[in-house]
Amino acid sequence: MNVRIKDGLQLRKIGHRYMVVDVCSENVNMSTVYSLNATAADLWKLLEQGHSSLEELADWLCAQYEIDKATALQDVTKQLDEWKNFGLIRG
Amino acid sequence: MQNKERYALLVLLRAGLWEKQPDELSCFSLGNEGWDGVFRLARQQTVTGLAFQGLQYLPSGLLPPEPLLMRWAAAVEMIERSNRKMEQVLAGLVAMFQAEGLNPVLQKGQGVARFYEHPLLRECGDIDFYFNGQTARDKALSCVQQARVRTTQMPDHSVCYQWKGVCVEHHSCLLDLSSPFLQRMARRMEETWGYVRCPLSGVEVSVPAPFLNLLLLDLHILKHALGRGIGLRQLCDMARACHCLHDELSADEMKTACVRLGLGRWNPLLHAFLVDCLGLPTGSLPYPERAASAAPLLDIVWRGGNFGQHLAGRRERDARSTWMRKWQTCQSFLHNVGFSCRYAPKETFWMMARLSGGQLLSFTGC
Repeated sequence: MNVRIKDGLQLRKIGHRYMVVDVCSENVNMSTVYSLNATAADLWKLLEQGHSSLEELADWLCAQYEIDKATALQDVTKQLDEWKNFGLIRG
Repeated sequence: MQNKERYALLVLLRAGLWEKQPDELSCFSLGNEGWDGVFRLARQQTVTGLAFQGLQYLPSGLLPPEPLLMRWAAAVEMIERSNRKMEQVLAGLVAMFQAEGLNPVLQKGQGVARFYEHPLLRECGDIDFYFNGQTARDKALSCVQQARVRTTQMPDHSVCYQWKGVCVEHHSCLLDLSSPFLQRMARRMEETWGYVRCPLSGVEVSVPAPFLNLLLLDLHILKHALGRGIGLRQLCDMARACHCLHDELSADEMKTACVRLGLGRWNPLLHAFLVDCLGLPTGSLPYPERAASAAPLLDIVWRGGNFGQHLAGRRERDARSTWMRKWQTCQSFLHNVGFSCRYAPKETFWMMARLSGGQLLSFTGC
């Protein structure tokens, strides 16, 4: 499964907080802002860099957190599904 | 409480303008209501993006509450999108005019945004073009009208229209002066210094030469300070322009020109504001004269916000008739008359003359 970020979305960092703003219309009040934790933000950055396969993302998670591949695949799938449901990524 | 919020906004702006740590942290123990106030002020003064940039330098523990941070981020996203749209519209218009052999000069706006570290964070307004000469102005107007766009002639001879959702204005004067004598002097300066080409949004567009650019921003701020009010964004523009252009200017020439244009008292006040409130290094001032206090200008900034749009009762007034609005504008000048006579007496006289004469005295048309 290869995924890519919806056009125009940008990860923003303020202090230790990460956010993605999805503008739904010209009205600022209609925008949706998603808050990401540090791990989710790192996954997002990998997607921005073009690492778009489930395998790549799970490998990175394994290396970072010393977890087994099956758990990593499960976690990444769960995160990507969530973002897909929100319409933040496609694929 | 309001003073604390205002102070906090200025600290954020200094951090955002110069990409540095805040020079003061004690003002950020604000609470939810206080942070709401800072955000509201930033919106009113159209410096939301710049203040957001300042937030990047705050320690995590002093950041606004997350819901506000999210609203702020959403507002910044919209500002960036508006800028991208504005750049596209600008590029298209410039290409259209250039194809007709015209040379539009971009005043302020995107031409000033390039002085910022992050141009997209500067809130954009209109596209202001200046066309040198009546023939060029007529041809530009004809170009626009051929596209079946409705144009409106303004009392100051400028033409205004909407182009792909963006407000565009064609001006007949580069430097905003009311006195016909000073207009002639400004015209000579324009001929001497001219324009420079600048790559913007994939096209090359003319912008005023550095000397003229600073004068243009300076006079624009003065005009609005004497009238309905001026906001922090215009002052931030001036600070960034000074910072980027001061190496290209002769301080002596600048001072001589400013004194001749009647800015001898006004500029030291403006310089004090840029240094004391916005943190511009003194070495970046066009020339070093500086008033002891920026308070008279700061008072006008807080009273009116962006071009006076947040003056008490402004919205109700704007809904009334043209004559009522003219009367209210006149009242704004009268309210400021002490300030105006002190800092720019000649301009004040001619502004009042134009207003009271229903702008008949603008016949000189540069």
